[in-house]
Parts: sequence; structure tokens; C-alpha cells
Amino acid sequence: MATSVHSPKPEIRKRGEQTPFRRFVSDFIVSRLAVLGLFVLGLVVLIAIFAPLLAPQNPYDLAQLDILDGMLQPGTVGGGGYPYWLGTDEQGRDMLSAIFFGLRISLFVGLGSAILAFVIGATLGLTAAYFGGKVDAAIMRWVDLQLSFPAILVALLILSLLGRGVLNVMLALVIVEWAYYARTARAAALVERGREYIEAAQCLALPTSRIVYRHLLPNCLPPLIVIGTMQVASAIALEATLSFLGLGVPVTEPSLGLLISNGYQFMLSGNYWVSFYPGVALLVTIVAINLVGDQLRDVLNPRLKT
Amino acid sequence: MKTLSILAAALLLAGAASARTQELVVGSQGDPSLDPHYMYIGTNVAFWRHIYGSLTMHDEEGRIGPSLAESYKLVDDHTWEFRLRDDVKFEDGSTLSAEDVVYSLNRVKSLPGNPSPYTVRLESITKFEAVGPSTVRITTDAPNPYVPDNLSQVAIVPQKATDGKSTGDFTSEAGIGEYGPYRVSSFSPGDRLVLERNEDYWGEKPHWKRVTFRIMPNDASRVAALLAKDVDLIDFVPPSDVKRLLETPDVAVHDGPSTRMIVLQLNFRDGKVGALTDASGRPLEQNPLKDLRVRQAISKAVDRKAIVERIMNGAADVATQVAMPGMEGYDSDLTMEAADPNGARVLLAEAGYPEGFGISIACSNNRYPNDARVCQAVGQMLARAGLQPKVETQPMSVLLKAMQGGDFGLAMLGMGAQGTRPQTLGHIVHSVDRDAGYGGYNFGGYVNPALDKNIADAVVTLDGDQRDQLMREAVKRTAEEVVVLPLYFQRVLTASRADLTYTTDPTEETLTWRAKPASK
Repeated sequence: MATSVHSPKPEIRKRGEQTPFRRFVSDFIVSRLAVLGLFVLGLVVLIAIFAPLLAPQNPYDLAQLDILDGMLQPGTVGGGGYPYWLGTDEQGRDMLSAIFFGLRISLFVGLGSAILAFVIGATLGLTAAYFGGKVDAAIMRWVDLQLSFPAILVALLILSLLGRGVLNVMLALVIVEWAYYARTARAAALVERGREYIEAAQCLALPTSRIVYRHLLPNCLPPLIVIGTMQVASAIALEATLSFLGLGVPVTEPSLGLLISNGYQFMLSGNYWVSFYPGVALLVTIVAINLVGDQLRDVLNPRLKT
Repeated sequence: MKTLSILAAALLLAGAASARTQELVVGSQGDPSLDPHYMYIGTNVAFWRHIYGSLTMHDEEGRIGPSLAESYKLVDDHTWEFRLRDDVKFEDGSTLSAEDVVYSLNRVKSLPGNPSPYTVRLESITKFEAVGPSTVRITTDAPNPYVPDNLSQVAIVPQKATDGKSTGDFTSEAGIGEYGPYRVSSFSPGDRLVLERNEDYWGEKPHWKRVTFRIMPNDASRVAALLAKDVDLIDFVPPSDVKRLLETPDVAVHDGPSTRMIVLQLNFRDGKVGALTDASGRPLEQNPLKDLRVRQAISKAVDRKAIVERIMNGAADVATQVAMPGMEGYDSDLTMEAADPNGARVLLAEAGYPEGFGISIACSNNRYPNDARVCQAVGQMLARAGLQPKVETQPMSVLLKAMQGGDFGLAMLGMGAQGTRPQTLGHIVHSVDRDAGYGGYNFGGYVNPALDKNIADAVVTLDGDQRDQLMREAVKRTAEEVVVLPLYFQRVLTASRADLTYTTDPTEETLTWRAKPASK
């Protein structure tokens, strides 16, 4: 029995390039811009992962900073004997190293909060759609309530209660963003719930959790993945905003937003580099993620396909 | 016809120019309260000095002298007597009387809903009475040499004009009963205050016929407005922009000493303190800061000169002690030793902390110029001496709450002077005694009965030299015991058009009559 069910599979694979993954890849590389975005994003991720090896200085170790090397122009050689390619800030922090480490925080916070928000939001969204009725109403009114407040306002409130810190910023972002996933997951699941395969699964008396996670969830994934990519970018931007406003990460461990905020005060004095280069790094990262996200949306959305 | 119109235009321009030379436009950080008894903060005092007056007044060096009171003296240990000038004219033609003074002091005490009342300046005063048409007698519960000092900060208003007026009335009526060097011409809160010179003013008439304060709380906007020549003078110049302004040819920067000192407070609480930890982050069994050698090590580790030069861009003076020259208790023999991280390591090892320990440094990030940056720099310096500092910066309101909870290793505060008395002594060094008004900022719980007595004795000593001697002892003991880490005294930074001179005020008040056209 089992062998006969599985036997046709290899044949199909041999015949065509049409496995879902290959189709997805060939659709994705249609846009050169998206490929470029993916390449840049890969580079940024590699830099972030290997920052401690690449950076000439550990900008988070206060003992490695020398205030006498503060505010040096890009390219100056400092007391450590190595050149500060992008200059230093007023604490004598090498901007290049600070940007590498800042990318780490930005990506960690962005990805971490997006994944957590994805898990929580998708679970609640699917639950709402599958059970309907009072459960649905309760969850969705909660979502509506939360979406009616601007994200930045909610995040500011949470952070002023919890205090600074990378984990607190992540928590605030999760609380702000889970609602988007819940909404998307519910919409997709409502469509899928009426389909025959769900009815079939229900007739087999499979446990609810199995139906939701093994049958419903995989079929709701495409729109969730698209929302997820976009939300990573917006989480990074939101973290930068919070840090810029002085509520995000601790001052001794600056993320990109805090670096920009630090340098902002020196703009009038002509020391542009403290703000400028972290700004460029943030811009490049967010644009790259958005390019990839846009193309994902086009590829994964059947309605956009003609 | 054409020549005529050109001529007319030229005449108009000339007229505008001469009016311009009589007018001063100030880019001002503060937003004024026109009720002179509402919200005691330095910028408000500066505003009401333009339109009212006080019994006494400080000069450019901070020395107190007569103003509305032509003379004052001690009658006995508990009683001061002030004699008023007889030429102070009000709008309605009447003159200043002792009743107006008594009324004003009463108004200070009874103004409702005042978040920061001027009553702190009426400390220890139990009674004020008019004993003649122009004589006021003030009784204190203990000998108080600071009464003239304190009364220089309290506005006197005419009773007839202001009786029954609320704080809101002062704003909506754009000033009531002004009799100072200026009168209010118009006021729109958050935007501008326009003043016209009072031609009946009793004192020396100021140069400017018309003064406009444009309210610009944002530092960068004030600097930009000066560079764009929209304003003639700006106050509270951010230190980081001084270099840029100095390089601009038609701008002059005026700086002078301020009595505000930035100081790090230490935690002296017994037992475990969450902010003082071993290498793994667990609170230490004993508070290491109770060991004098540890405190000396921390003081040694902090390079005050580098902070002043690098972070404050030179716009500050290294503090050698909790007083500055001209303040009571200043001891010119006290010096601040040069930073020495290795010496600090040796001291820490002697005290039993060869590997250092974790210590949090709590600072504001919105209260003093560069506060968060200074804090980071201190962290850097402690790390070089082998400690594991944790820098925590937060808005002042949050910080104060954290400090009250006692969860800090070092904490930053700015301490001014009350007249010529260093505030640090009474507020941080003296043990907490709410009723007597001592130790209001002593969040570290420092207690030293000998120092307490020293300070308490000094403030009730009427003889100036003797008081200075007692204060000097207190300042010296504070330094020897390293009760606090004095960092630096701020400087008052004001900038203007290059053709103006300006003398800054040690209390950071912006007083427009101190601005004059530079003589060529």
C-alpha cells in the first residue's frame, strides 16, 4: 500500500522543473532589484553575525574607548594605532565598529520581535478564525483596539514603564506588532476553513491542534511571510526611532538609531559623520529588506499573477 | 518721481535701522510666567526682573546689595529690618510702601496650585510686618544670615493693582502693575513676549527701548535663528555649538562662570545594594563605597580635565571642591589631583577589590548640558581603573524616582548655590532631616554627625568671617571623606551679534540690560 502511494513522486520530480520551490525561485529572480536586495541583505546579515571579528574595536567595551580620540575625522589614525575609517563620536567610539555592532542589534531586535510576534499573532489569528463566535469576536476586538493606537505611542508607553534595554525594546515591538499578524492570519484562515480538505480532516476526527497547525497554517503561510518581511523592516525602523527618542537601548550599547541621535546634535557644528554613516547603514538595510519583501509579495500572491 | 520713491525708501530704511538699534530681539529658552510668584525657576526670575523688582539684588559677580530696599540691617539676632526707597513709582502714580512688601510675601505663601513655589526663599522666616510707611521688619526662628540673599529672589508687586488677581489673570491681561525697567506690551504664550521701556523707572534706564523675547525651547533652533540674524541674542547656547559660533565672523559668544556644579553622589546605604555587584552580577554582601579607599580610587579614576575639554568643549571649569571662588567655604588651598587610573587600581586592590566590582552610574539625559555624554565618559574612566561600570541614563523625572529608591552606585546631580552658600553641603552632604530642610537630595544616605553639626552651625552664624571659616571646614571635610565627587562648574553661554557686548550672570539669568552695543 505505502509503496504504491509514494512511487509516483520521483517521476513527477524528474519530469518537470515545476516543484513549488523551483517555481518560486524562478519567479523571484525575475526582478533584478529584488536579487540585489537579497544580496545586500545577505551581506548585512554576514556583517552583523561576524561583527566581533570584522570590527577593529569593541564599541561596547568602555575600557577600549578613549575619550581623547573623540570626534576624529574619518580616516584619522587614533591612539589604538588603527585608522578610524568613518571617524569617531564624542566618546572616541570607532564609527565603523559601532555601525557593525549596531546592525547586530537592529537585526536581532527586528528579526527576533518579528518571529515572536509572528508566532503569537498567527496562533491567535488562526484560533479566532477556526473557532469563530465569541472567541473570534474577543480576539479581533482586542486587535482592533490595539491597531487604533499608533504603534510608536504604544511602544513609548511600554518602554517608559519597563525602562531601557534590548529585550524590553523587543517586548515592546512584539506587543505592538502581533496584531498585524493576527489580522492577516485570520483573514487567510477564514477562506481556508471552508475548504474541503479541512472538512475532510474534521471528518477524520483529527485533534483540533493538528488541524490548525498541520492543515490550516501551512496554507495561510504565504501572506504571513509577506507581512513578516515588511514587519521586520518596520520593527528595525521603530527600534531606531525609539532609540533616537532616548528610550531604546542603553547609551553604552548604541544601536543605529541611537548613533544617529548622538550625532544629530553635532550636525550644525559640521561633524556630519557621527549621524550620517549610521543613517546610511540603516537606510540600506531597510531598503534591501523592503525590496525582497515586495518581490515576495508579488510571487506569493496568486491574485497578482496573470 | 522715481528718484523721489527711492529717496522715500531710503528714508524708510534709515528709520527702520535707527528703530532697530533701539530694539533687542532675544531667542529665549524659557517660556515666561507673567505671575512673578508662580513657578520658581531661574528663567522665570529673569523675566520678572524686567517688569518688577526685589528688595535686594545681586551684582554681576553674585554679591548681594540693595535694590527696592535702600538699606537693610540686623536689629537683633532674629530680626532684619529693610528700609524702602521712596522713589519707586507705580503705574497709578502711588509709590512703593511697606504694605506692598508684606502683601507680596503673603501672596508668595498663599498662591494656590504652585508646582514650584518661591516659599523655599522664605525659609525660617516666621513673621514679616510693616513697622512704618517704608520700613519692613522680618523675624526668623533662628539667626539667619541669608535673609537678604533669599529676598533677592522674591518679586515685590503693587498691592492695589494685583490684589485678588490670579495667575491666569497675569497672562490674559498681559502683565499687571509692572513698575520695573520694562512694561509688557504684548504676550503670546509659547511664542513671544514684547516689552516696552518704562520711562518712569526709578533706577538706571536700560539702553533698549523695546525688547522682544522669542520663545525657542529647542537648542538648535535658537542657534539657527541667531545665524540667520532673526534674533540678536540667544541664551543657553549648547556647548557643542560654541566652536561653530566662534568661527562665524558676525557672531560673538559671551561666557562666564555659573554657580551650578555637576556632582556625582555616592551610595552609602548599609548591606546589599542592587547596583553594586560582583563580576557575575550578584549584589555584594557589603557596600564597597563605605570604604574610603574605594571612594578615593573612584575619584582618582575620573579625569575631570578630559571631561571639561572633550565633552563640554571647554565650556566648564574643573571643580576642586564643592564651592567655587566667591562662594562661602571656598578654600583656595584645596586642589583636585590629576587623574590616575593605575593609582586607582592600587587603591582598589588595597581595599580588597583587585578585580574591581560592578557599579551603576545613574544619570539624567535631559536636564543638564551633555549629561548623558558626561556619564558615559565617567563609565569609560572607571572601566580603565578596573571597575565594571554600568551607565544608566534616563529622563530626570524617572531618575529622581530611581535615586529615591536608593538603587544606584553613583548618581549625577546639578547643584547650584543659594546666594553664596554651596547647596551641595545642605542638600547632599547633610543627613536627611526633612523638618529642618536638610538632606533633600541625600539619596545615598550619608550620615556624619560631625559634618552635620558643622553645616548647621555655619548657617546660623551671623558673622561673615566666622561663617566662612565654618563653611570652609565643612567643605574640607567633605573633600577628605570623598562624600561626593565634584566634577565641574558649568559656564553660562550666551551668544549675540558681534556688535553687542553682554555680561553673563552667575545665576544663569538672562538680563537684557547687560547687553549693550559695543563701542567702536
